[in-house]
Amino acid sequence: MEPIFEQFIRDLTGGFQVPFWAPMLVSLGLVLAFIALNAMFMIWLERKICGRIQRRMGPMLTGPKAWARFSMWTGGWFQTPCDSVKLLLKEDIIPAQVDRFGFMLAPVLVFMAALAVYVPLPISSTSHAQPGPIVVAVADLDIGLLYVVAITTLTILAILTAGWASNNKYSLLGGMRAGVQILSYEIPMLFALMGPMVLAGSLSLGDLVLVQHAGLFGVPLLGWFLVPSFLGAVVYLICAVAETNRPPFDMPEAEQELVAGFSTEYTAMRFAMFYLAEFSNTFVVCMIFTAVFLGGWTLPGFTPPSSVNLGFFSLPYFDLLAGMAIFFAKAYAVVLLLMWIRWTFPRLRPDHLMTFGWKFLLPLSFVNLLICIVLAAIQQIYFGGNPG
Amino acid sequence: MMRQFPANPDLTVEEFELNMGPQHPSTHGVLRLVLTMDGERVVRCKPVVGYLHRSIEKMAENRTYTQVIPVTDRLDYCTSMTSNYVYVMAVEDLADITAPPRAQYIRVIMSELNRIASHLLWYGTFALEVGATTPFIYGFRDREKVLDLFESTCGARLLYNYLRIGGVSRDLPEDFSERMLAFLDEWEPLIREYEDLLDENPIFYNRTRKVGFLSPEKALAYGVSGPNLRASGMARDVRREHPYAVYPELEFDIPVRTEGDVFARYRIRMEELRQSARILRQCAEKLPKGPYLEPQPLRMVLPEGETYVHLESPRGDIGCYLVSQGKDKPYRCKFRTPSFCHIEVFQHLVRDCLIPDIMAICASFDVVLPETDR
Amino acid sequence: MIYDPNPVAFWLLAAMVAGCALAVVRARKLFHAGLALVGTLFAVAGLYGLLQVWFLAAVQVLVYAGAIAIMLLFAIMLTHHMMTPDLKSLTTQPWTAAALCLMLLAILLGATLTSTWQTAPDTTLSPTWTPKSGFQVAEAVPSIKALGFRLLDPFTLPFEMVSVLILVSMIGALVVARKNPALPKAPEGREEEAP
Repeated sequence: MEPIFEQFIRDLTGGFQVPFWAPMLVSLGLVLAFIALNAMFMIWLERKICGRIQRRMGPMLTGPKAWARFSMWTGGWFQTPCDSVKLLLKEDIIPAQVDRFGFMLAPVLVFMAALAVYVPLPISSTSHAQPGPIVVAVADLDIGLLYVVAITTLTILAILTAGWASNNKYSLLGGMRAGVQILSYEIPMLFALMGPMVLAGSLSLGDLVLVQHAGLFGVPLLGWFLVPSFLGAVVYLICAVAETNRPPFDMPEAEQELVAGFSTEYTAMRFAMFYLAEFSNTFVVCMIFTAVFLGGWTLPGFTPPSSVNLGFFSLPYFDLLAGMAIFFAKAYAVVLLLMWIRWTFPRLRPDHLMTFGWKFLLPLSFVNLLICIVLAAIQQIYFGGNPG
Repeated sequence: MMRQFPANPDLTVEEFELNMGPQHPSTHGVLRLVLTMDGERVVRCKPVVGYLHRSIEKMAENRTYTQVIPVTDRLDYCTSMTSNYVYVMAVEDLADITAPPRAQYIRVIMSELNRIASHLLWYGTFALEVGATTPFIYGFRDREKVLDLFESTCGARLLYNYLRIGGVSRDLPEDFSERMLAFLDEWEPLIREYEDLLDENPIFYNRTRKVGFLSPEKALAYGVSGPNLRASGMARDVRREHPYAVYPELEFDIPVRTEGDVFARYRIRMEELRQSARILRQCAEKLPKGPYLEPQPLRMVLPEGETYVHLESPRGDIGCYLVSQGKDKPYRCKFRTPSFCHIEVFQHLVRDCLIPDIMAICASFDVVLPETDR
Repeated sequence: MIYDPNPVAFWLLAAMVAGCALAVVRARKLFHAGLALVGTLFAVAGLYGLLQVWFLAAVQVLVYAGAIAIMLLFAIMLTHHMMTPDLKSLTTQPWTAAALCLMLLAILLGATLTSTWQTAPDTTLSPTWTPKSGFQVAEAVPSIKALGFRLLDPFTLPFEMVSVLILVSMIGALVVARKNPALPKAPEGREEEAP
């Protein structure tokens, strides 16, 4: 983020040196705005997709009538902004018997985790006015993948705290379920991600994408880790759905069983924090899937120029914009897949969930790791070096 | 409550009580389950009923025989037609009235349509209880079409008040048969669609197979009836055993399964949907012309006596015990409702189950609370 | 170049470590103490991050603040006094304890202040990071790679021994837990005795 931001400001102002804290603040602002707006869009999309699957229209009434008349996909645009305003204005109720400290801490924690996880996610790259391609991320940490998995554990803590502090048996059960579920699924998830790590020889998400673009065995499309690490991709996707508590793995907040699970006692903005974090996390796992298995912002055999000349003016950072468009298109494709799953399947039972995770997904991720190690060895011996 | 392990008295497990309901998203209205839990495992379950008690039976004692009919609508809002029917049948039995053949057919058509509507509602809510949202909408979508048929017949979509002593309140609309057949043609293939959503889904399969097993002996001991009994391997159906109306003239099968678990109860209802469609097609073919009502005096007086009649409602064997002391109001009107028995046996099935299983088992019994509490 | 951690960030994190650690021993509710412990571990991870040892920071969060702390919270939830609002401290000799703690502090401070610390970063263990270009993907020597080589080359034997040790402790825990034959059966929908 820093180099690109600094370069951008220098280009714009003609050599102004930004203070060291400016990129951080700008990243924070951008990520916050992205979380809020993207969650709003995703909720709207979820309602529309759900409506489509269930042969209904979804929200149609809020917003300009003319849009709704045009198509079901343009109706009801203002539903989520209205919902947000409603949640903001609602009375914030803290029940008398709750543990106030934990009750107030939990939404903050869960949102903190949702926010922090964006740091190493690379959304594009640019070589505009740079010696080589620079990955666009808040900070492309060289332990990116590990960082993402580590931060996710904070979510468990938050949910466990929410469940305990609410002083409600349903909340407690929901919190316990969430803790066990996320903790158990973290292990196959980590092992599923290890395949790509071995293939790329790196933990940095930016590196992973660049390695995929370079290709495996010299074949570009093979490089998408979806192909050599297919089992890993499947295991990761399942674990990711479980980690984000989305149906069919939404035991912690299973409405029919636990009323609303850990968020039973929450209202207004505190509830909205959980909700926002959940949608944000859903999108994050889709972003990770895109970066790790779908080649991130790259397309095989396509390298966008760093700037294009539109005749009357030259558009800089074209490769950055094109990369972002590709990245978000892929990420939203995964989002659509998750929505499809959500509105089709019944919910699992907690003990089946455990059996499935430990006895099926974990061995499968081991197999995947083995395959990836063999492939990486072949690559190293016959094609020279790690793909990276 | 502390539970000790015999081998290691130091190790104790703390049980806790969980009050599920009367306000809970999936206790179908106002059932309250007092659960003693060991973590997620149910140690004991005590259902508490009566939150929806409206004293329907007592109300019936203060109304004329005709005025009771709308009250019976409220007995079971999912199948008002059969609730109407069982009461009307009891009165006709006491007064020795036989409805004209056309009315008999209309009553059967209405019963079967209502069975479809009720089973579709059940399908939706059952799927919802196991966590699948989409089947709910599918079930309700097609139930609406059945309700359209009802609306065109008697003007109401939920509480019909359609049956009368001696017939039905008004004749079927002109094009009813065509519209019903059109609906059946359109809807019957959709049963396959419902099944596609759930049947071979491993999640659904694992959650319903071998869950909530009900043995035939126990089912009989508790008075379980209807689809729930047939899912336990007993081919018992009032329509076959004590045929009423024109059922003897109609061809239909009674689906039976021997597993006795949640999945079997689901499959039975899916099959019953098909059988109902089959009955309806025959009715549309055989529907005779003629009067639809043998008019009775508004304030009719029944001879002294008592009777018990029962019929097959979508939920099972619903009965009506009617005592007359020669006045214009019933002396006693008691309903035997299947859901009450189902709640009774349900508490034994959830023992040692997990919380999600409670939902699956409770939903699989198709318990309707207004009928239980009356 | 020598990396200079931001002093403001350092003092904030240090205060968080100390404050949370204090809260662990002072909290009246067990659960709060557990939460404070997570806070301490997390702040320590922050300190690691400040020193640019990202791998250690991530592992600290993943293993300590994540897995172990959550196991701890689970264990707390299983205790009898979990819901007790006001738990009295069981300490009967606060002054002795305070004296011991002060002694420990003195020893640690002495050791810290008298040691000579290596100030130049080990180039093989830290990423090449410059404020101008960020983490250089192509030229960087990823610290995690170096760490991996070290673990599997000079330290293979201790590494393997640690893993064997963990395996042994796991099996031991299983054996201890299995001693009780009266554990509740796996839940399944089984038929009750006849009414």
